[in-house]
Amino acid sequence: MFFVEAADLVRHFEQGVLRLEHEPTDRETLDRIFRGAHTLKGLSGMLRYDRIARFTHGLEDFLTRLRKGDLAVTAAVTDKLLAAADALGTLVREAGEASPTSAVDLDESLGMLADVADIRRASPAPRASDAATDGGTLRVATEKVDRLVDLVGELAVSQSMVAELVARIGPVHGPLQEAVTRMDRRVRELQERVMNVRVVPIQHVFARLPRLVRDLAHAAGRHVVLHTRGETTEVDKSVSEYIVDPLTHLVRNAVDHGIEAPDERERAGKDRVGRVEVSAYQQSGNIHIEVSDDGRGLDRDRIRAQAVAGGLIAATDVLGDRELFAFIFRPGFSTADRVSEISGRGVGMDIVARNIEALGGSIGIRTERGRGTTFHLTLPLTLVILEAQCLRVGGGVYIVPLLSIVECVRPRASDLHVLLHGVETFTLRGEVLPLIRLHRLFSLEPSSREATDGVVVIVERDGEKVALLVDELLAQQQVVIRSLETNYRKIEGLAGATILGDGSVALIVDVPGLLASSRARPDRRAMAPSTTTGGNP
Amino acid sequence: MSARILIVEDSPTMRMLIRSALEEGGYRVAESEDALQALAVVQEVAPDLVIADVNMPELDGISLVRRMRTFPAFRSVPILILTTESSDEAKQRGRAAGATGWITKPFDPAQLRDVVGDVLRVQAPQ
Repeated sequence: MFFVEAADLVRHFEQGVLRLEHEPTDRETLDRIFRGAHTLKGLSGMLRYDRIARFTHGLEDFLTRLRKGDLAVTAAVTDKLLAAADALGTLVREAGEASPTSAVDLDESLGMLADVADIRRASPAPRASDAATDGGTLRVATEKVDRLVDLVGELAVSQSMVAELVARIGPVHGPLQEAVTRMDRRVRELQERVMNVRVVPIQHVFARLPRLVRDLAHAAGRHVVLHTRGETTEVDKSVSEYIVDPLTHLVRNAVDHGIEAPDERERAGKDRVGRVEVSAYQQSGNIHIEVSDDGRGLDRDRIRAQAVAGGLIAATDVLGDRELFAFIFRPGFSTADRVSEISGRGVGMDIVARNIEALGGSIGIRTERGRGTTFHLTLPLTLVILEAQCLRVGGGVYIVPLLSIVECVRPRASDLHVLLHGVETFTLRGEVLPLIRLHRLFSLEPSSREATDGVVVIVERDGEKVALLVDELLAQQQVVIRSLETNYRKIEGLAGATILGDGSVALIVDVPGLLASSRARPDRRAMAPSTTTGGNP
Repeated sequence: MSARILIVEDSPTMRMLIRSALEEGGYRVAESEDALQALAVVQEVAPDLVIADVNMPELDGISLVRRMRTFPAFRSVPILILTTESSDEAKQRGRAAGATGWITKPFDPAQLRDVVGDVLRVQAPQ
């Protein structure tokens, strides 16, 4: 028992020293290190491990000087402490093996601790490894903060486990309930604050746009002024990094395709100088970014012609604006007359769509012929925490991001149809949507074979909808996303995993992936709005 | 009926050492691994004597003594603090907080039983 505990103590001691190296003034860490050495001293004294006792005694003296502020925690100090940790680890191991000889020269090691002359000589400034203070602000490596975010996320999960266990006990006595509630509140607050550490104003992203617009306008022979609004809108650092590319593409697109040449504008009765506006705001738990121009607007007919030429639709198909405009996000789809240096090669918009999707966001288009186009991006506030709807499918719990759910309905038999090739559809107020039975996708046994016993969850991405059949709707909760691929291979239809309040693992349904695969089916055309019937019971 | 003793000590090895020393003396022993846990169970355990380590994370032994002394039922229950010879200061603070006495580490099992026996004898006539 002693050796297990002693080895633990040494390990914690070492971890404490490493921590102290980064936070030299952290009193609590210093106290903890001291306590570890102290406990070890007491134990080894009791059990007559004299060498350990002697060494820890010297170590304790050294730590006492640090605690009293007699010595500052400098790099020289942490170096000594780490050397002490090594010596201690060896001593403990040797005691465990009842080794007759020792690799540690006790006098030398103790002398090393006692001689503080070199510390006094060394600069009193703490080692500034990756933290630098600057007028009350602190620069910290992102990965450190990320680790914190991860930990807090896991803490939140553990907390909800506790809460759920307590709830399961049934009515418990007041103090316990109260303590759990209080802890819950604190964890939430902690989580918010830690997330907040990673938040940066979107200004950092916007800052590069003026130069970009200037250069693009110059190259394209346009006169353009850029307006930005909402620069102070705060976004998670990860989000801000990922939106740089999509945003750049959209602004390029606006200048290059949206804004007309000055003469053309004049002929249309518009100001020769075009206007591009980029704005950001936060609303209902999401970040919204809009890129609008007052240019010519999307050319419906041209997009349509291109889609027909590309075999995406038949010439006779009737498409709404939404479906039609969605084509511009397809790889290789371009309506530009000339292939410019920067856009018009059909690359760009598909990358935009893909990046936004990867972020768990969505993109929408508003356009008016001759008046301009607005691209509207909706992004989650953070990429780590997901507002989730839990669903039961067979015996498993699955999760769909709340952001992508349009509505949930109990299906009537008359809304369900099977088309040719076994493709099923669900009719939502006249709109025919592909229906995916999740249990079938994940090879699970449903609670009931009757679809009418289940619930249909309508999910949407970029204006495209799919109906998912599940057994039951469960609670909504915040979950921490973990990538599946680090643990498993990539599984079709799943985006990641999380741990729920009760400790069970829930898998996150990959909504964009499902939409893409339903799109990719050869019989997709059968579901196009032009063929809205297909009554096969 | 032998006396019941509550040990409050964060080190499992030390707990085991104290427990075996006390059980050898015929005492009944309960354990807590920290002061908060001790406060939670002390009413239920209703010990005749408490032995608390001074150096513990969260709440230290001295604070534990101070808090226990605010419970009417534990105003006069003897509490021994466990400390090292080097910390005279801890003994003083322990006394001030209301500890009955102290045991210095390292201790000898027989010596521990002597101290415990003495304290309980003094306490008994009351």
